[in-house]
Amino acid sequence: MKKLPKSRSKLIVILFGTFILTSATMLRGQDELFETPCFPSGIFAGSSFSGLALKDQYISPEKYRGPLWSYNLGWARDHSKYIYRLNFEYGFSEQVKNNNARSQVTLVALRQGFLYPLKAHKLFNKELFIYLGPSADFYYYQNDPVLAIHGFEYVHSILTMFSLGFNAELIYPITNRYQLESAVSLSILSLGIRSVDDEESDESMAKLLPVFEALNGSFDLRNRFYILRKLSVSLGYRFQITNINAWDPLIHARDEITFDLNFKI
Amino acid sequence: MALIIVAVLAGCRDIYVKPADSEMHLADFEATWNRVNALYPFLEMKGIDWDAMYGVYKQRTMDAHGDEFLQVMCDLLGELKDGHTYLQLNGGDRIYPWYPDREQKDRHLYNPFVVRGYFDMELLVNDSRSAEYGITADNIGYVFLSNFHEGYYQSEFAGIMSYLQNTRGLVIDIRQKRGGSLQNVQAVVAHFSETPIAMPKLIILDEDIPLEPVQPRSPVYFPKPVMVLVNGSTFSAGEVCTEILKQLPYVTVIGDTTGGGGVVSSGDPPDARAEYKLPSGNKIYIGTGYFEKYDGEPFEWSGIVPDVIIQNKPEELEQGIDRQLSLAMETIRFLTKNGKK
Repeated sequence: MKKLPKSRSKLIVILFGTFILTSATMLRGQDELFETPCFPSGIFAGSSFSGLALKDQYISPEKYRGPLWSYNLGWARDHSKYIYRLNFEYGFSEQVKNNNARSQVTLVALRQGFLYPLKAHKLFNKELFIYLGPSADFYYYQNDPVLAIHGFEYVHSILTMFSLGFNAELIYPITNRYQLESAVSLSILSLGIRSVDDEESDESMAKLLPVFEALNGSFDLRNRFYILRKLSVSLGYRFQITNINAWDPLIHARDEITFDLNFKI
Repeated sequence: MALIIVAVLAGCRDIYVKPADSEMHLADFEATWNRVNALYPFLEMKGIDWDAMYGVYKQRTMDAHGDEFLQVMCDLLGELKDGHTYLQLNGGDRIYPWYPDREQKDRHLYNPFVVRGYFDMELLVNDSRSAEYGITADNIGYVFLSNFHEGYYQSEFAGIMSYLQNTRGLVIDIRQKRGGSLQNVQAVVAHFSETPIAMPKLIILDEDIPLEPVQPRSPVYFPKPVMVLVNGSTFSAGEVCTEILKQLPYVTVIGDTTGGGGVVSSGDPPDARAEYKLPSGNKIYIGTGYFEKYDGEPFEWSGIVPDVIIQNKPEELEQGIDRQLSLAMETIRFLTKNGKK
């Protein structure tokens, strides 16, 4: 692949960043509250425990596995015609292993999305609420192999992505206090910035990536219990996958048990 | 709830993230051992029993699973105790298994912000940002050389010297330096002699490689006191530069013994290339030749002992005092007092 001129790489970064920030300014259209009864808007705080598997061929072709704790803080607001959602997640593990070789993995994600309600459907005599909308995400991944070297320089692999995509949410209230929720998110077009061998490769470290070159998606399945009218707790499962083929291949996937508290404002 | 537990335990992640296709550990080990055995010039000088290493590390290789082998490779290459040697992973990042102790000791004993305190002016930086230079209020020139890589000094050092040529003396600071090309070294030293300068002896693949003397470079010749600052972080091409300058009149080397990195390589013949691709795609750097100092001793391990040994102290640096730079400037002031040369 021909290396992009530095000025062109910068231009792509600036244009893409501007586009994402512009979409965030839609936040200013905060019209009056309209509460969809079942949608858990308000503040979220949660944590998840996941089993992580990764293969980062910038480092090696070996597969690493290990536990990873992550923490998230979110905000969702139910507007009259759409729901705006913002979520920050931080995850870290220093126990991701391939046999006795160990790596430290850091994941950071900032996700924002708009969800527009579609027509509710009947399922087993209960209503199934469906929401669909665009999303703009920031994603950061860092992999630091832990090697007992006698020096100052160290090896690490980094990926940063700014993505545009979609997110969808299904909510199925079973009783007044209990509902099932499911969510899907998927990047469609990303600006990726990746560690590259800048001495021997003329590959650009910044690339525009369609979904088949940079898949970043997740699937959620949650049980939500309303402890109080405004306070709910959820326990669920999430599968997240990131698969990048545009440079040295990187794939990592997580099976997570998720937990969060939601306080409706 | 049962669905969640089943999903987590079933491990969807393992459906998507597959194990490595194959391992090439033994092939990588054999290639590394053979490469070092055939070409590395300092096994005997360093007293390394490389044959004995074969059995030890072959067994460790066979016992290693997956990326445990990376540590085996680091340890194997670390046996050479060579600051140039590295293992380069597929993505291009390099692991240096060994650094000279002197380099580690002095790594933080140079502080560019303390240096700035000796000047009333802002130090100038050349286009490639490989050097910064300036003149003190009492007309002492200073140039810091950060990088002998690329071709920077071949095109830019003459301009720096033009700026500094009317100073009463010059401090050349080569502390904090790792490697580079011989052509850049020659571009620097050419300004400090009016006669051709003999090069140190170069040996590649056990053969003497004749090097042409460095011709003086016009228009700037600097026949005034020159203080070269070095420390344990001065390494490889920085040491060759220091050794050449040290032989010249007007030049005094001040500081602490350099790091001692003497291996070199050459692109011609192809066997003399230091970087070598292993069957797995990872690369190793094994020097195939070396420079000798003018006294016949290799640079490797021994480094260059300055004419005047003086060490910087961390507590003084915190107070803005760089003893090595202070001594260099005081020496120039003394030597040029009352118009003396």
